[in-house]
Amino acid sequence: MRSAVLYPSVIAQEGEDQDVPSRLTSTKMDNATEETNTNGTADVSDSPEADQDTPESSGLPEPTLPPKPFEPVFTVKVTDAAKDGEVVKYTLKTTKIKSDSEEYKVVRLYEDFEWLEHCLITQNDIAGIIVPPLPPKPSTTAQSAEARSKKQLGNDIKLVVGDEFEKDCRSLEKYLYLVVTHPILGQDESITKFLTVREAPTRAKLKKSIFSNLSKAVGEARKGGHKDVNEFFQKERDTVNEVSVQMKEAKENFMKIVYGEQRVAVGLSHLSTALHLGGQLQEGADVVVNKLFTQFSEGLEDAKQGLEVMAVNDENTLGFSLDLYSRYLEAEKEMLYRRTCKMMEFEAASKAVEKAKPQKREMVVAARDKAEKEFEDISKAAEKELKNFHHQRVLTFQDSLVRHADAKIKAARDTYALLTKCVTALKTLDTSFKPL
Amino acid sequence: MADDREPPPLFDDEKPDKKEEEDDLFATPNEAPKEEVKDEPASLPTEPVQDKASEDLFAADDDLFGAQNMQEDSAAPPQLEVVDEPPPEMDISGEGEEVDLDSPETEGPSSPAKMEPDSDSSPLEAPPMAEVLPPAKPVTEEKPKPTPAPRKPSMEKSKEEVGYTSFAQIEEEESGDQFALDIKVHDPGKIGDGMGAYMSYKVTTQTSIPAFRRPSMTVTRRFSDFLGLHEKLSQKHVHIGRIVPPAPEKSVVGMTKIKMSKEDTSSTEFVEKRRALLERFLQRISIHPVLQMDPDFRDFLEQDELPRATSTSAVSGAGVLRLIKGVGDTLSKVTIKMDESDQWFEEKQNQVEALDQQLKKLHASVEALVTYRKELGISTAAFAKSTAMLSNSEEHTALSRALSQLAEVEEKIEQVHLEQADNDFFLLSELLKDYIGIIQAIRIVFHERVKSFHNWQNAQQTLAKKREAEAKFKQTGKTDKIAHAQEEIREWEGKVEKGREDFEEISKTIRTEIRRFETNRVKDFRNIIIKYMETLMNSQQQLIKYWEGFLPEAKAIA
Repeated sequence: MRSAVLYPSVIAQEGEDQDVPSRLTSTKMDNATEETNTNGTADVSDSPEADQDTPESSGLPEPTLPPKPFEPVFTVKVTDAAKDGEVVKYTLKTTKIKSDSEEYKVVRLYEDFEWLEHCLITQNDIAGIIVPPLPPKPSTTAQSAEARSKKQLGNDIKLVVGDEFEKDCRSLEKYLYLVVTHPILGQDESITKFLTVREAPTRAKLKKSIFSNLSKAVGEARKGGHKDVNEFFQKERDTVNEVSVQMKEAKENFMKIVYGEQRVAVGLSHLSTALHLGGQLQEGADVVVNKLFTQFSEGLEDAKQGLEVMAVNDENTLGFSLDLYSRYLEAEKEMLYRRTCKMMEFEAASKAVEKAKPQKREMVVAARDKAEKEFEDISKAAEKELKNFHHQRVLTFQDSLVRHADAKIKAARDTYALLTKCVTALKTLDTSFKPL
Repeated sequence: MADDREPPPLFDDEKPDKKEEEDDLFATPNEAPKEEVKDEPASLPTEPVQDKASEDLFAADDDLFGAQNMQEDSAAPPQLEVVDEPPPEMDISGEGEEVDLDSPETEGPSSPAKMEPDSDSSPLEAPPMAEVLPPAKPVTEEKPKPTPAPRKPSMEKSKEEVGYTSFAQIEEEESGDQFALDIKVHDPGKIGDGMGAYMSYKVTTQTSIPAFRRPSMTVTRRFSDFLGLHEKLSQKHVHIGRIVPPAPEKSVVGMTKIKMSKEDTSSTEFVEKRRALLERFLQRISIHPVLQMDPDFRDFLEQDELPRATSTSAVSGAGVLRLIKGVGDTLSKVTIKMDESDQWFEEKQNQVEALDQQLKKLHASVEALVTYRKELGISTAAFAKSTAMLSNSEEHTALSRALSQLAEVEEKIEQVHLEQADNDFFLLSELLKDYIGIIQAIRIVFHERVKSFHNWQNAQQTLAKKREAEAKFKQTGKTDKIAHAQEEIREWEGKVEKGREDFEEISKTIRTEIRRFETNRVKDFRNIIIKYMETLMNSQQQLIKYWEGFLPEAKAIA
């Protein structure tokens, strides 16, 4: 059975930062990742591949002409989310990268995003592609808001958490970014239609059958364990299985921190309010104590604001990435699974050749050749995808971690400054009083 | 309260102004127009100079002694916490200053004059919750060197010093005497095993009061000894209107755990809580000009062996008597009413009741806060673990290293949260509880006054009856009984006079006591609040420190 010999380049490659075996890949990757860098991560240095752009002319055999490197066409922002009854309308502002003057503004519902995803999946060969995950549908009902509030703030705090429109907008925006900048998906016509045409695409109900998901899960469980012919991919599969679970857990725990911060903020707020229920007398010690309490209360409000700011920032920086990659890793798993299936098809076809009777042989060999080609194609595409994916992942996390730390430092500094003012005020407060 | 949750200030939203500070701290946070991910951090309102290095913020607060120190401290890395070393000394010498008459700062009741020593000690004390806790050894002969016992919530120790400082200050003004009584309760230890086991505490006193045999002494006491002391003092002083600091609470649950040798965090906390409570109890007695001179109090501090205070046990004979008396008192509170002629007392009682309400509400809020903060600590620890796992799986070396660093940072931050929760508790919560207890003692004293009035009234009524009887005897000509009746009249006139005197005396005493209470209250609250705010500041500082340490790692990923 032909196996490991197929991908010498792949076997050599273990980490993203090592030498790229094929010049073809590196060039194409560079553009994609460079775009990634300029659009997304301002502070981060360019990918290592960029540095290898020039020297890789060491003549590795290239089977095809280098295709035109992909450049994303659009920049999209989701600028607004407005609730209209139970339905949320998102406003999208799109500009063409090449010509800033071309601007488009459209309104879309979540269902429209589903339509887009559907088109991308069905109209492209997504076999070897890690499809960017569409964020889950935000819930808009009153009950869900209540349930969310209980979950976040706990049963004892009777506050209702507001709708998370802003977070939803950013998630959708990130999704569109990933789609638009994807070397293959970004070329899909549906994107143009989605972004630029005023009328929404026909909103046909897309039935996501429960069974298809279930059978997929079962299939994954069964075939997912099938040993790979290729060491690199085997490792990748093992890793992603482990990491996707860990990432989810990390995200859950991180959100608990965010909620915890919010709860402490509420606690501070309650204390601050309670301090205002002051004594009655207008003279004597009560007056002074009330002044102290008022100042103290302001200080607590400062501390509370600091925490709230931290919670928001946490969610927007590290929280956002953890959430994105929890879902994105699932997409990676799905892609690898598709490849595993192709691999098993190929293996089955090869076995069939060995067993084939002479009169059927030609047909069976043809089938095997086809399976082999498909497997080769998907593996090649997958390899590229994975490289790009991991590189992007590292950069995204670096960016998030840096912002996270920066935001924390700033918030802490600001809080500290405000608290200092408060302490000064407390210390200079005149605490003399006439005893009654 | 739904608007408690402000919208995160990103999408061009104006962050609602919470307060108009003179420095216009509330600048609109700036949005990042270009990135695909709008995670420009929401910013806290700061001064508009925020583009400059952060040091400017601190420099702006030049006049603030504390901020100055903080800035220098934050410039120096972990050594920040080592700055704690001087504070205990500073504190003590601060106390010493205030206590010794020759120090100029001790004059005058106005707080600004006293501010200097306070601000001297406070900022340096401020980061006391560091890992580097100055170890406390039992006192030496020289005064200004005691270091606090190695215990986690060192804040409450400083609090006690501060509290003590303030008390000393007040008594200084009032009595005008030279006065020094420094008491520490430390080294709790378990004696014995099983149900008979108990905790013993060392009580160390340093004093310059000549009535004491030695200038410094250490004795060992158990909980029931403290209760015995309270009992004795109450018997002597309460009925004449003195506010005796409330007895420390018994705790069946806590003690049972100790007896059963349950060595968990809650029992360590319990022991610490109790130790601190006992210390504050003694210190409050020590600053009372009359109580501090009480021989029983002196005995408590200096006698090597005290007779076992068995009468404090609930099931002892004395305990039962106490119970009965307590019931009687409760009933009498309900039945005896007094026509209050003195407006002052009526107002004061109302005020005290209102204060009680407020303190209880505050106490509930603080307890909730402590809980939330502890939970936050736990969540942080859980996340640290997750991050460590991610770090292990991560193939990209630099990212893996950064994640591992992140896990460490989060662990440290967990400690920050837990320490702050301790501060929430030991500073605020315990203070509030103390005062709620003191208010109870005040109520008792008010009630004593009512009883005194009642006695006086009774005496007057009896006198009237005796006079009536005498008159009747005179009328009916029972001359043999007249002499006796007149004797009784004289007796009861004496009693009436005594009753009136007692009543006036107790009223006067209570006025003084309440005045003292008010002054103490102001000082106590002020000091604790400042101290607490400083712990909040310290927490922020630690956050800054840890995240600044992490930042280069994050930047070095790619």
